[in-house]
Amino acid sequence: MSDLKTDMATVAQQPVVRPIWRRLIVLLFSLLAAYLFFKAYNLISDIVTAVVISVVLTYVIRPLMLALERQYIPRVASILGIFAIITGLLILLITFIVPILVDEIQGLAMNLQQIDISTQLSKLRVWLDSKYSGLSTIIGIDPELWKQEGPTAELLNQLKGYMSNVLETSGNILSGAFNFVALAIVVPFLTFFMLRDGDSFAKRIIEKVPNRYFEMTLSLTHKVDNTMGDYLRGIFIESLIVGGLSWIFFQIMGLKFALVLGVVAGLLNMIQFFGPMLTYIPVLLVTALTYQPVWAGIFWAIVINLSVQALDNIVLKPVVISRSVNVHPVAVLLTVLVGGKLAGALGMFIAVPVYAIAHTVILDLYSHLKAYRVI
Amino acid sequence: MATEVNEKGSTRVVNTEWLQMSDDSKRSRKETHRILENTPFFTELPKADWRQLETLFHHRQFETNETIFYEGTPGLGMYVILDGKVRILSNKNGRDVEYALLEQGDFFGELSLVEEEHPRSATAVAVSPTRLIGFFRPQLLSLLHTRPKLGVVLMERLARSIAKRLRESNKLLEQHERLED
Repeated sequence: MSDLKTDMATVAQQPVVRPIWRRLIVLLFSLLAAYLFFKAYNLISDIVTAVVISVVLTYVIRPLMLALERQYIPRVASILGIFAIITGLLILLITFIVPILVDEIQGLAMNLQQIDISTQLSKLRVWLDSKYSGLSTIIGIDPELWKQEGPTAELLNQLKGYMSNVLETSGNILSGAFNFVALAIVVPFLTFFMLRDGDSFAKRIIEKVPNRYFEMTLSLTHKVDNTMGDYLRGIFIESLIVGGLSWIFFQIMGLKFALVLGVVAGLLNMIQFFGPMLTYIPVLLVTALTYQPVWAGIFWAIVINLSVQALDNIVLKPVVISRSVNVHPVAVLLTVLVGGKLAGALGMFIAVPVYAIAHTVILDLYSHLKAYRVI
Repeated sequence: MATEVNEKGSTRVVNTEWLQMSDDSKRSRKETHRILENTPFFTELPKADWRQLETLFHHRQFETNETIFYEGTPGLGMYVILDGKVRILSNKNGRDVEYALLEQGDFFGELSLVEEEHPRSATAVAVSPTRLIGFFRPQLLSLLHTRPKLGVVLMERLARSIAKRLRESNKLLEQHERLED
């Protein structure tokens, strides 16, 4: 009794100790972890990709599984039922949509190679000159430079080559994705076990935690699980809506390769901050090269992109993302850049949730350690 | 390992250690079930609900004089004593006041199931080697999603338990006031 009293009194009188060396050690360990991840990424990138896809699928499928469990359907039966529906949808997708998508991508790549950008550019310039003779002065470009074809055309031709490469590669990836045996086997396998045993596995790990840290660990894992689940489900639904709307609107507009552009818009939307901006590149390029009249096409493509992004920012993001991840825009920008540098597109995608989790863990860990009287 | 001979005379090798562990586990589950059945929270529940609840319980073991939780720290849930004794204390003006000495089948900390990380109103210390079952707020919330009926039943029992404690506190307060008059 007296021990406890002394203990409690001592804890109550303890000042908040934040030694600089402790912060430096944490910083050094974080940098070391990032460096090791960067070094080892090439070796484990396939495994990381499979795990990331499985984790995303687990979080997306989990609410459906729980809804079925609520109807007293056993867990394994629920998971297998959902897998059967997903397999059915994939078969439909492979049969009807993937061939169109692959054709569109390959067609677009061929189109890009055949189209002479400088001719299109000259047409655009002639048209602009006839409509607005002083445009070059208004937008601040030297009239002499405006008349020169060389530098701009060269830049656009480079961009054309780049886009053509990207599209050819994505076409190959899409057409060959289902031959990628490892991913096709490992992802469903991992997802199945994450769904079936995820809870008990987490529980078994938490039960190994010493009594002193037990409630704190349980509370932290609960928060991280919520943050991660809300974010991944949110971004999945958001990207599905953004991609779907873009496809519908491009189709209504009569733009060629609407499906490819919709898929690209949806996928790029998964990358915070940069994704929506990057969407403009393929959309405007395809519009400029395939749509007549060009100016109307560019105008409508921008209007569609802006409208979809406005809807995303005003309606979707506040509902599905902000409630899960409350990260400052500058932090998002830097995090996505670092993620891209460390692990490419996948790194850009997982950067924000990883940052949000680290943010939650570090901030909450410190406050929890204090609140639970560990420090 | 041991060799077992059946009625027909054929023999088979039996892993006795494994059988022992399996028996212990079954006995432990039955014992846990029996103790929890006698608490107002988990009494008279259908078998299917029991199986669901078992996956949500956390088993914890504490040594003599080990603190289970401190007064003022964020509470996450309740504990039921499977074995051992727990002392509930509160610090009043720098002095520890004992509120209760709890035994097998008693439960404590249930207020934390209602309010998220509400500060614990007392300190709980194991008086002897103690085994506890922990049931926490995240699990209760998940239960409300996956098994709403069971979740509501538990919430109702929780409300009853809190109401009972409130009535007891009011009685004590009245007695105290009468004594002062």
